[in-house]
This record gives sequence, C-alpha cells and structure tokens, in this order.
Amino acid sequence: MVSVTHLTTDLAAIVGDEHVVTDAAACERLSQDLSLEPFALADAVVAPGSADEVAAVLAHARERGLAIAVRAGGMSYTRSHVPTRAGTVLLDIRRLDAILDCNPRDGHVTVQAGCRWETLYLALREHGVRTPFWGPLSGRVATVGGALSQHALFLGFAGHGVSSRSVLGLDVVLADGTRVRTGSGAHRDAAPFWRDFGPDLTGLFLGDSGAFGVKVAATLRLIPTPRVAVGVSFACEHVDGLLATLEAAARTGVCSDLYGFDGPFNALLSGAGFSHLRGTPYSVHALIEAPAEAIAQASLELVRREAGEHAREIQASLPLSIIADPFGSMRAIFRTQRPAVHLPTNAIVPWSSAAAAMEIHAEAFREHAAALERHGIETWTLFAASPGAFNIEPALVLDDDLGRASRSPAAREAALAIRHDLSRRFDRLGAMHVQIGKYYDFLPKLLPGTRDLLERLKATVDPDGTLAPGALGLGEP
Amino acid sequence: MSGLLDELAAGAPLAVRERRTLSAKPGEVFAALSRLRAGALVQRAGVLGRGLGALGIADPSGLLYAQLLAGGFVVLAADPLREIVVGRILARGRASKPPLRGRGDFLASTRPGTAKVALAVGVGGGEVTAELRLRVVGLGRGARVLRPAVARGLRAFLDALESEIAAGARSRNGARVA
Repeated sequence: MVSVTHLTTDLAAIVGDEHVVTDAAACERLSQDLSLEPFALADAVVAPGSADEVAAVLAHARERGLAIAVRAGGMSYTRSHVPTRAGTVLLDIRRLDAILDCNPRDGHVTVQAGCRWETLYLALREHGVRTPFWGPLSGRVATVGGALSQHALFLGFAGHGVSSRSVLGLDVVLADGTRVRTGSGAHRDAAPFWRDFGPDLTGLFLGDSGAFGVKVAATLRLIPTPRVAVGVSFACEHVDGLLATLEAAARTGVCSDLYGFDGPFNALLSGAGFSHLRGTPYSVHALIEAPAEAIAQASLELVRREAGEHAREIQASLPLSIIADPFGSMRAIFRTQRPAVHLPTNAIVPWSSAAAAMEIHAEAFREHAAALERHGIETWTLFAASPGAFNIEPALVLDDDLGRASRSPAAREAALAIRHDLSRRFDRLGAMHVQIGKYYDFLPKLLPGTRDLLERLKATVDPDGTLAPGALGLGEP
Repeated sequence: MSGLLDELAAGAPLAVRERRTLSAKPGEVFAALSRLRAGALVQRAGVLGRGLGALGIADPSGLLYAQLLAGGFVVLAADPLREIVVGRILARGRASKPPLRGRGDFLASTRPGTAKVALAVGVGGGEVTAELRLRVVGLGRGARVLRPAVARGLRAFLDALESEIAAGARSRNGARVA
C-alpha cells in the first residue's frame, strides 16, 4: 500500500499541491453520496486540470495498484462515485469546466465534463442555442459528465429523451491513459457533428457510471433556443386519471417536459406557495416550447384536448416557476420544509406496464406502512413521462443527515431496507433504471451473452479493474 | 427583461419600472428571490404592511414568492434565468373575479370592475429589473396617486433582493472556508 505522504507528493507532482486533498474530513465529505449507503474513504481527492493530467493520474494509480473513482457534482443517489475499498483515489473533475468549442451553425458544442449544466445553458443562450436535453433539476451543481454517466433525465426529457440522447461524441481517457474520441470527431478529417459513424462507441461510455473510462469532454447537439414556453397543469382524482393524462399528453409529442406528483408531494408543493395543489391526489404538469407563439398555442390546445379528457385543468404556476429557475427551483421548494434526507428509487417502464408499476408502488407502501409510520418516514412520488416510457420515482424522506453518524439509526436502517425492497419489486416488473451506479442490479439481470460481452469489454478497456470498481456490478470483489 | 411583460400587459396605464445594477449571476438572483421573506420589504422605508396586504401577502414572516402565489398571484410567463412574470386579477366591490389559470385567462379578461396587475422580475446585462403594470377600468387620476407608492415598493423590493444576494454570497464563502 502506498503511504498517504507518498501519494500526496506523487499526485501533487501531476496536478499541483492545491489540487490534492488528503484531509480525512474533506475526503469523507467527498467520498459519500446522497444515498446513505456505505462507502469507503478515499485516500486522496485529486482535481486534474486537463485531460493530460487525468491520463497521468490514471497511469499513476494503475502502477501503484490504486483504484480510481470519479466524482463530479456529487449528486449521485446510487453510490456512483463512492469508493468501495481502501486504496482509492477520488478523481474530482470539476476543474474541467471549460466550453471548448461552440458551433451554432453546425449544431454542436464541445464542453469539458466538469462544466455545470447551468453554466452551459447561460453560455449557449448568448448564441441563441441550447442542448435538447438541457440538464437535471440539480444543474446548478450537477455536471455534464456526471449526468452522462447516469443517463440523467428531466429538462427536455419528454421531448428529447434522457441526457445521453443529446450526445454526438465523447473524449474519454481509458484506464491505461489511452485517449479515445467517439462519433464523427474520431474521423481524422471530420468535425464532431455526427454520432452515427460506424459502431456507436459513444454509447459504451454513456450511463456507464464511470466503469469504462473517464469522460473528459462531450460534444452535444444544439437546437435553437425555443422562443416561446407555455405551461399547462391538471388535477386528477385517481391514479387511472393520472396515468391517462400523462400518457395522452406524452403521445401528443409536443411536450418538452411532462411530469406529475402524488398527494404527499402536492402537499409539499402547497406549503411552498402552490396552494392550488392542496388536497390534490395527483397533479400533472407540462411545458410546451415552440419557435413561435402560434405553434405554442396550437400545441397547448392539443394537450388540453387530448389530456384534459381525463383531468381538470388548474393554474400552470408550477411548470412556469420551475422553468424560471430551472436549476434551483426544486431546491428552493425543498428548502421550505425541515431539513431531511431524500432517498429516491427510480423505475422506467413502457406505458403498457405503467398501471402495474403504480400497483407495485401502492402495494409496497401498504406493506411497509407500519414501519414508515413507526420511524416517521414520509414518502413523496414524482412521475415523469415521455412518448415511449413512464418513469416513477418514489422518495423516502427521513429526518437524518448525510454522513456515517445518523440522528436516527433505526429510521435510517428501515429506510434503506424499504428502498432496496422497492427497487427489487420494480425489477421483477422489468423496470429500467437511470443512475445504476453501484446500487441497482444490472449484470445479474442481463442475458448471458450480453453480460459476457460487457465483462470482456471491461477487461479490454480496464484490465486491472482500476476504474470505478463495482460500478454496474463490474469488478466487484 | 426579455419582453414577456410587454406581451402580457402592453399599454397598461400604470407601468412602473425600477432597475438596479448588480454583479450577481442570474442563478444567484433567482436563488435569492426564492429565499426572500416578505418581512424584508416591511423593513424598508415606505413599504407598509397595508401595501403587502394589497399584494395578497398574509404572513410577512413567510417567503415572499410563496406568499404571492398563496395570495392569488399566478405565474403567467417565464424565460429561464432571465424573467418571470406573475399576475393577479383583482375585483372591486361586488364584481366577480374571472378564473385565472395562466396567461390565456389573463389576456382574455376584460370583465368590468376588475383590475389586472402583472409583476415582473428580470435579470440581464448586469441589471436586475422589477416592473409592475396595472390595468383597471376608470383608473384616471389614480395612476398618478399609485405611481410613487409602487416605485417605492419596487425599490424596497430591489433593496431587499440585493441584501439577500449578498447574504447568499457570504454564506457560500463561509461554507467554502469551512
């Protein structure tokens, strides 16, 4: 094992003294994520300032038998960046935050992986363009690289899919320091304007939770910034109405964002000023973006006609509030409540299984009702929709703090067990998950040939298992 | 401002705009807006509890934005990290208020005995702008009476917002040191 002193000296020689942290408290803060799940303490946190420095750190780690975990904004709920063993260096990529090239005419922007979504949005707006998926709601903190490692979804999801669908190519550093570029940018004489050039190597590194390489830059597609945004909201009395409203609105194909909340979430929102949601069993909210007013209004009428059959239209303050401060509004809403830890479980199913997913959700909370009440654990559920899929995200909310020391160990233990149980139940339905990290079952769910190929790919790009051991279930001890 | 208010309340007989030069990022301004308490306006010169009551704010200790929404304001339009417009339809005397679900209802409302008020906050070019527009049947001389009070209220709002932005910056710097 390398001594901490030697490690600090070696890493500082690569990135500079001020970008290496070995203080135990700081290492603990940066090693954990938001999941309350176990984590090992990183020996050091190192923040490279260039792709060359990333390659040098990886080479150093490999030589010394150290593991590398990659951390960006730290917004993982699935142990994505958390070290799993001693002898891990945490690679903090937030210094890689530059926008390297913006080409509005050809419709692509190349940005370093540590750039935050809000920074990117504001910079692109000056050019009259935006990425199709334009960030998670945590985009004031969350980075491009982190989101792409997790198939993040939210802003633009209904219209453009998860974050990965907006990617044209990547710059990746493999465990041995090899630099790889994917998409048309990998062509010796081409610009990075096109993803589909031969086999889709880009896809290997998307949603990989850092298992296959360290993303140092991404080229994303650009669209003109929508000139008009209008919102529409509905209240539904029953779960059938919720699903029918979401599905009908999704199938219009005109919504950029489409999401809903259950009664407890509506109560939270009501306390944050959205009093029109008080007592609403389910609410649905859509944002429609368009290049011109007439198109926006026609689309709005279409959603009203198709989705309004199943629900009552209410004021649209919520979707417009969220869009006004897209990367801060939800945090502001949560801040109106007492401090708590949120543990979400994410499940994505086709529309034909949406009712079954809702039944699983209801059944699980019925069965766990006594434990939830005993430990004072609340549940809030968010739904998100796209034309092809229904996303359900129940969160357990408990009075606790992040970190190893718990204010209520029994409640924490119960919440973690219930969360595991929820994900198992959704798995049995064949649900997909974004943010696989080191939390959701992945490899065991794959067909043998697919699993074997992934394991062989991992062995090829990371033969010593240096990168993110345990991510996707690969390289687990 | 990105012009949203003009689309919603062009030609309003009462239009008062106040500007403040601030070096904060748009996200910091919107974050401060979400943290701002209604009582922060009361503390500023010239803004009385009565004025807050007219905006539908019942609890000065509550968050200003939440209080506005809970008090009957509806978000009419938004341009991400650039502008937000809230509006309310007020009824005088026995006049009934039309439903207000969003900009369509706001634009369409012409019911006699009602007043439409739109309030916008915008960020851009190193400035934060607050603007209020009011359209009411038979306002007449009332506009001249209201204008100074509205201007004072908007200036108090910008003062409070500036303080909140500074508090946010101090908090972030403190956290960084810790």
